[in-house]
Amino acid sequence: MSAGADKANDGRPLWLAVVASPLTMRLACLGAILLFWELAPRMEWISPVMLSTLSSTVMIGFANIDVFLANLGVTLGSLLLALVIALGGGAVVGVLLGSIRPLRNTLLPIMSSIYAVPLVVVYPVFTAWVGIGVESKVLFGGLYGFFPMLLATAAGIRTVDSRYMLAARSMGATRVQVILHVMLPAALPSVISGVRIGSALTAIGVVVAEMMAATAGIGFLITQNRTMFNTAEVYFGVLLVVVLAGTIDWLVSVFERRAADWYPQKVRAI
Amino acid sequence: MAGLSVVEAEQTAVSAGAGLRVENVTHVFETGAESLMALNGVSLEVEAETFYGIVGPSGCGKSSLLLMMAGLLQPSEGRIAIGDETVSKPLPEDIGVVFQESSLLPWKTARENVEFPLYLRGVDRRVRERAALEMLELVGLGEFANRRPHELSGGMKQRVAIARGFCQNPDILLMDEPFAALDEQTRMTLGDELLHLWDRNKKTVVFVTHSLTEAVYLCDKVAVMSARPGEILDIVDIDLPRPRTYDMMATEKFGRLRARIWELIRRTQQK
Repeated sequence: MSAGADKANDGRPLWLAVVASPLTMRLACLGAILLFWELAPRMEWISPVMLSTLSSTVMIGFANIDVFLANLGVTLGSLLLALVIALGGGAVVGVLLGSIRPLRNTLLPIMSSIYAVPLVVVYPVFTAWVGIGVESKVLFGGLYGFFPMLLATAAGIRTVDSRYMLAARSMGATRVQVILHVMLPAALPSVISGVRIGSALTAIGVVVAEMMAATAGIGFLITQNRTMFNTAEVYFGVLLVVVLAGTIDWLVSVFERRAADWYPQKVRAI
Repeated sequence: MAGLSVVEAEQTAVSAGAGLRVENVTHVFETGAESLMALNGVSLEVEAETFYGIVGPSGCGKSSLLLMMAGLLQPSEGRIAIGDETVSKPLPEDIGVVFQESSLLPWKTARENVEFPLYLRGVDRRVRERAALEMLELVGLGEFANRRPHELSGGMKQRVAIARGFCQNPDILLMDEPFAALDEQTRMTLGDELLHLWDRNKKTVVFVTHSLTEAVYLCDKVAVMSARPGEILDIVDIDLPRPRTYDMMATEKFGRLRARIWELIRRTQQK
């Protein structure tokens, strides 16, 4: 990431280049946030009921680590199932809507509109239909990530450079070959940004569902501890969610670097 | 022929070369309520193994004409034929296209791009890889076989595109302003390289360009088209000897041929 920037020290002294490198700056920011987290409640800038110190948060977390890990496991399981719905379903429907014009013209505007609705409002209905067990979390998380994945995939398919398609057809590509060898690879950058947003939203969906009505999971744990004013436990839960989200984003980046290293960096906007 | 032997061995029937006939082709764009005539009664007889140029002002429908020759666009009237066969769909074994701007697939390496037409027709992996590498050697890009298009310069990309056209090995190669995006020096070099390739492996080439010098330098015949609706104004025979050399450009004959084409185009633009 910052390897290139580290090397480019433009004749400045090495120590300055290292100190001023983006990586150093990023770590410094992170350090400052962690330091503030520790100091603010300790110095009573913020009431410890509102924010527990970093050290007590981590200590309480590790004291109850089996409870946290068990609930993290529940969340992960629901998340994986939800991702199958969101990414798998979104990709399939996205390819269909992106490549079949009548479908696209009628359904795509509707899909965009649904994406703009804060889906949280329908969660009570969900729980009424399928209860507050795993099913509702999975369905809700899946639905949350489904629309961005669908829209990004459809957009990727729709904006494939027509020259590629003409060239492939002139070389004798059949319709299936055009889809497999031209449309899908060309749409990949857009699909990956769909995966990125879609999986982040799916994680939000699952955790939010757990917070509103569930019997287990990290979100459930956060809410339960909040009602009991166990501030440190709440923040340890939040910390786990942050780590979870960071891990997902990192996995997507790894996949992106391997699968789509052919398009220029500047395309990677999201 | 070294680079093409492998491919030819794969093909069951290698004809002695084919010409292309454009018979009274008219093309009308339907844009909602309006209809726009792009081509009006165009007829051309492109004989086998000739290097045939088409020049004309921008928007005269030369690119549409080329797409129709490739079977990618249907004429509103008239027909395009190879021998007795009407071209109504892409015929990759007979007709190949090298497009205007690089139409290389950016996620494939140079070699994968060049072998793509062979892949599509189910040629064995080792055979098509060797054919592609030989073709890349011929255009001087042997070392760049594993680079992706975004790692290549404009001239290199267009060399790969030409290599792809030759690797597909059709009898007729259609080229739609293949050097338009290049600077003049690269364009001249590539023109020469194209003539060398064509010399080793005679094909019928239809070469659309807006550069008059390029047209005279490369072609045996040049069809001059009018502004929209595109019509054939005249067909100029370029009776310069081959192989063509740069010093020919300084000759009076070259100048006369170029001036003749310019005169034809200029006259329609004044109308």
